[in-house]
Amino acid sequence: MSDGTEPMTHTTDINERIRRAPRPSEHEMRHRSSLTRQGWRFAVLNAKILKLTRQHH
Amino acid sequence: MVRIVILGAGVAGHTAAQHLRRRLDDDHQIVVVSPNSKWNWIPSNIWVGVGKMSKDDVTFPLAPVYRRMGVDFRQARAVALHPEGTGDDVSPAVDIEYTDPKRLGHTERIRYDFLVNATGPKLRFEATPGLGPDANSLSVCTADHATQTSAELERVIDRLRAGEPQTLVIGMGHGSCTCEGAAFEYVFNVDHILRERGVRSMARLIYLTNEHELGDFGVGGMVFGEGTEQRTSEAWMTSLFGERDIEVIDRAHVTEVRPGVVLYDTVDGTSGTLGFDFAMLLPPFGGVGLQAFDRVGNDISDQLFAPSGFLKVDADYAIKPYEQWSATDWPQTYQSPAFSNVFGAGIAFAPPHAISKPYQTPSGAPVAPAPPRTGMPSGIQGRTVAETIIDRIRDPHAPAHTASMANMGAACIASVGAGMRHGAAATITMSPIVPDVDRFPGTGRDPKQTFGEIGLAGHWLKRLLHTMFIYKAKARPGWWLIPE
Repeated sequence: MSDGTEPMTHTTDINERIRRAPRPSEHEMRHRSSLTRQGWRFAVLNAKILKLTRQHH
Repeated sequence: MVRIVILGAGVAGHTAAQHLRRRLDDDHQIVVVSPNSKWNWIPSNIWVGVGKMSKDDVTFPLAPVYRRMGVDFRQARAVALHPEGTGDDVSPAVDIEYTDPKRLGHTERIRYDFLVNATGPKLRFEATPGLGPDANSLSVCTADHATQTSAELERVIDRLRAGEPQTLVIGMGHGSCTCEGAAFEYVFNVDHILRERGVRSMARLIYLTNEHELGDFGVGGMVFGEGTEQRTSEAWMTSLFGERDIEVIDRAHVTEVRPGVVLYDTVDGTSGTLGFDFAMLLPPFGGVGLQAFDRVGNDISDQLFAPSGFLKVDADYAIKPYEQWSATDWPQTYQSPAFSNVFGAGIAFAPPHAISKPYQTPSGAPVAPAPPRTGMPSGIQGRTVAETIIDRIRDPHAPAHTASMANMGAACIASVGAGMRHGAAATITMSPIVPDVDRFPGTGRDPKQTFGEIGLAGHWLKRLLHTMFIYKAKARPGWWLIPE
């Protein structure tokens, strides 16, 4: 990671974890951009946020 | 007649002014003092920073809106408070210095009955040598900064198209920064636009952050869901960074930015240098440097302000170890303990402590994300303070309204790429913002209301919020129906 400095244990480790992190399935990727699915999620997310705004503080 | 002076016209100050004006009779005067002539929907600055929006899309002039609302607007900065009055006049006052071109540098003393300090932050680029758009790095903190950053990004894209590999460093320019969410959004939006332009493979993208773990966001991270469905924000972010091939340096404090080189130290004691062709690094925030004086002119700033320059309110500021921090330390009314007619809201109030566990480098530099107080919490605080003032005008002994961040939830729609068909955002909700392990043992947050997902719907939501909040800030018909 560093340009010409000594190795960095934590930084090396986290970037290794990032490289090895599980990738989303094709199913998940399709869901993220499906207009039908995302239209439904849009409604659900709006409702969730609206509920948060109505909390008693 | 009561005069209420509001310092600042950002989310907190502007929201307070709108609610006060709507609910108070016209014989009460509301004065807004802001050094900026325009209102800025700051969450959309990241889209200005990648060329997806222009400055005019995210700003509008304040003066015509305030004229229509019946609010007295002074384009000026507050320089001194006199909460006990001055000389023979016991009426509290604030000294302002005009910033509009017609009266530039002129000063005036405004008397007030109530004062709302909602100045927002001073962008402390000077905290790190070489940091900032006047030195060696870029910013998206203001619409002008974002416009400059977008132009520089275009030059990077031109060089990538010419076959010249580029290194882009995006993140936090100091160990005590806040707004990690904005840096996260910007690095993902840059990734998105580089892919759109077909040049991503030539670019090395590095996220440099003071967070101890990815997904901390200055709120100590989050745990989503329950039981076997439980997932941490750290695991989620690790996966998202992996998907996009973005490298990470976390637990870092930037010590200096030289032309083309960032120098940083990390909590584990390593020092690094990172060459870059493009660096967008956010600054730490501080108070705007207001001073306060008693009636005979003695400096009483330490009675009103914390060492950071933020206004002390009804929080527990006792210094204590992280293990003893409590949700009850956080303010509820945002009223100054020194002067009951002075309130703070938004970034301008001094938080009692961080939410994330603080660390430091072996040389003692802080690596401690500051707690976020922007957006939804800022708006709620502005409205809460306005409601207290309205009640106190009618009955001086009326109890204050409350809105503790330890009871309040928040939604963060973090864009990861703009586009009505191919955009996406990470929608994150949490409740409460400040974890309360007494109410929610384990994670400190309500698992039913702490949630994260990524998808196109998030982008639609963020785009909708952009339109709705600008409509609301312009005080268009029915604006009060739009929640904070």
